Amino acid sequence: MNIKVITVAIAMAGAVCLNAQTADTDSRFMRPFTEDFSSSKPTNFTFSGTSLRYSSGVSSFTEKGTGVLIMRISPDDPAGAGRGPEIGTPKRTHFGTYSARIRVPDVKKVQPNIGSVVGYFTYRVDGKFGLSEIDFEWLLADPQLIYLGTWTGPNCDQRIGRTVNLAKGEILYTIYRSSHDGGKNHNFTDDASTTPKSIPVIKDFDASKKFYVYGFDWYPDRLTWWIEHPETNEKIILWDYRGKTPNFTGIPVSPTTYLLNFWHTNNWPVDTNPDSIEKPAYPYSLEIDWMKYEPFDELNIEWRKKNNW
Amino acid sequence: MKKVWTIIFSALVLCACNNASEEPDVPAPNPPSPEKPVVLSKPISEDFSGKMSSLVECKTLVVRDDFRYFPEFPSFTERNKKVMLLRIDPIDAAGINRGPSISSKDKCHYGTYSANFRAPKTIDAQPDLGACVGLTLTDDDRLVALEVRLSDPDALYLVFGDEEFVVRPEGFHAYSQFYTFGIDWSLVDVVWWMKTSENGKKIVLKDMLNTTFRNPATFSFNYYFSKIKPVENKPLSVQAPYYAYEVELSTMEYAPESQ
Repeated sequence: MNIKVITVAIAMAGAVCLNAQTADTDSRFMRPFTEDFSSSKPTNFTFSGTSLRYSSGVSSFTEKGTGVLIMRISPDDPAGAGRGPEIGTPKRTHFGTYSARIRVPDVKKVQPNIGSVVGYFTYRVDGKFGLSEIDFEWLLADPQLIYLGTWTGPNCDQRIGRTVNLAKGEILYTIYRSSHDGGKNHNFTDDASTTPKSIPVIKDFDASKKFYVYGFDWYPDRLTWWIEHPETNEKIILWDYRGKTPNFTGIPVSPTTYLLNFWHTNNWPVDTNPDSIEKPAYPYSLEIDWMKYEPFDELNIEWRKKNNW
Repeated sequence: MKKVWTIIFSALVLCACNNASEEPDVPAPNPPSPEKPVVLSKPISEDFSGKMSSLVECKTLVVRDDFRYFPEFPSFTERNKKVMLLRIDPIDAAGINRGPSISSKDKCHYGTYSANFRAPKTIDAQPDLGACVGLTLTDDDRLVALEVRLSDPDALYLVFGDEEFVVRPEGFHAYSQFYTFGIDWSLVDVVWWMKTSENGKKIVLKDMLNTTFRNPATFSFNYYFSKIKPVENKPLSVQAPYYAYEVELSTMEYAPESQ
């Protein structure tokens, strides 16, 4: 009995020591956080541009009892990624689990051909490792679709991507491209790059009709994009990528920053509507309930040590 | 014979119901209550930066969740300003009082009425939107109003009962700034006016003398969709909203005429 107790105590002490050893104390990096946007100034994010585009700590326009951050696009915004409202962490983030509860604006009736993107993503260009970008994206012209992918490489042009329609349980395509062969799209075919082969239907899925929890788990050799089922809270894997292309892996490796933005595109129509490149005709509102970051401290410390970063 | 009467009665009921659904979207007159003495409202001065007073109330829905009123909301258009943000609901029925509506709890009488607000710019998103926003005075059978109609944001629509007057103040765009709009109501006249935020100078829009508008009235700020009020030169501007466009209401005031 005594031996058992002592063994447990030693094991627990060991676990505490291990945790103490692996807790990441590098001040360049964000610690784990859940930003619930309950005050007028978020704790873990900074705003880009005029504060009039952001309303933090306000009541949701669409869900009772939920406090949110509202981000408004402006009809005067120039086209281009990051040229609308954008929030980002002031410090870096790295391997870990990222998740957020978001509702994109419902504009299908008022402006079916809108060219507008909501991006939930990481982004940073490193002098040595190139771009470190992981994306969840929605094009407002068809909020049944979700665009998943990464951008990597020294020239920021190495793309892997998967587009899914959750209302239909359909994977539209899983592709890669880069300047190695002139930026042509190629379909992934191997198992490591195309798992899962199918996705379930989420009945009536529409990112503009309700809040959904989206997330991704980022490891040095694996990236998993997922969504929580709105009724069961079950994690539904949309893409579990462990593959590689002939010229690059597609998995970012270097530290990044954590962002969310809302912008007008005049050259990226949604797959289901080639005309959807109109500038927004009204300052539509995007609602974010919360954003979370859970770093994989051990992996991050190990990676920095190995790469002298 | 009994069967025939039943059929006739049913037909009459059906007819009445159909007529009801075709009624124009004006407020139903309140039933007269001659025995009850009219309680007149105290002066109203709401700035919506904090809790609302008990002198006014928001009309809320009972059949579904109400996402119409957002008090103490930071303005989308002016820094350090809090407003009552009003959102129109695309599934609201047409008609005054059927959208977001803030009204005096008690009746008001001669005096000065005003509201400071900024209308949304919807003309690019939905040119034929049939939405109206403004202040109204309603007694048992008449409406006096000063309205912005979102499909014609350079004009003001002044309503007195069945009469309507359209004025186009120079350089006016209802969405471009917060304006104060007002109605002075006295025994001798009704005056519609506005003030810009630049110089605060009162611009009289119309002065109607010798009106018969005499009975105490309810003072309201209304934002609603109408399918029977197209704007000038745009007969099709009666569409229901396709998006929950926001109005920013900054103040609402009533100063009774001194006796």
